Amino acid sequence: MADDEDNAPVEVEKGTSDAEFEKQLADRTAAVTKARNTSNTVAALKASLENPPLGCKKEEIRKKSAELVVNVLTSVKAADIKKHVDGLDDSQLDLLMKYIYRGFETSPADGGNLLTWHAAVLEKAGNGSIVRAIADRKTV
Amino acid sequence: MAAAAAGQSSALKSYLSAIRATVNAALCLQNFGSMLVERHNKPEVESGFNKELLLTPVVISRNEKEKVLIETSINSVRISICIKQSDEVEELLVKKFVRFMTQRAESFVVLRRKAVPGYSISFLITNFHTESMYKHKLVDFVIQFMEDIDKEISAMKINLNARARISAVEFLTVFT
Repeated sequence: MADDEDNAPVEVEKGTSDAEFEKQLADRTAAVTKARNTSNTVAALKASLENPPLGCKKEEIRKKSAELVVNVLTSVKAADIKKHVDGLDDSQLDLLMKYIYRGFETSPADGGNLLTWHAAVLEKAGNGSIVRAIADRKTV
Repeated sequence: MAAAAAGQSSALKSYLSAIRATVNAALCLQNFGSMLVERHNKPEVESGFNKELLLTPVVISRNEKEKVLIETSINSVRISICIKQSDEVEELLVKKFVRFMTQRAESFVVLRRKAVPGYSISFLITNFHTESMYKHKLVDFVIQFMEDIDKEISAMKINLNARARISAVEFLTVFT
């Protein structure tokens, strides 16, 4: 009845707890390793971009997530980067841009490789992806 | 060797173009009076009291030694550069060169007197600067600065070594 609907408790969006983040990270790592073992870097990249630890308070989980993505990025040859980028949709591209910037912070040694990825993502997604990467409250 | 040089310059080019794109995106500034003190107007990236006015700081690194930190806020951007210093001579040269410039920071307008800890030199660009100067020219300036400073440091180092060699030769001919 209409009455029941009005009095129904409002569903508050539950934030993800640390344990859930850990589990998602473990799932992601497993999926990525499986894809990499079959040399399917496109699938590995998509798997590593699933369920990002946005707003997670634990620094370790975020660092491991970033490392996972950077490992996939560095394993791709320069010539194939464009093909990988073309296969991603808009939200994945934004997320990838955030991860690239995180990668610059955590592993500066991979800078050269990350710069090529940065240029490719920029070409596909435009300046907006950079603006969203720096302006979004939910950081990776 | 030409290929290696070309490879190196293309790496530098991709580094600078990434920085150019990020600074371009970050330099969207507007006037914003201080929320804490009446009638005051402070660069929010410097005062940092209000977290909601600050955006995510972003690093772009080429390798361990060279990186750029870009911190944005609603009315100001702070760009800190880590200049490549491969040995002690270059460290000294960079220190003196940077000191020369930061002492004249007022006439430089966009330079910050003290670099952010961990970096060699910092720029502070506020909305007033973007209002009175072309934004694309400001970005060009920062990029040009980064290119030129590397060239100048290496030119100074070569000069230094040449002078040292000449004076050593002169000194030691006395003993031959």
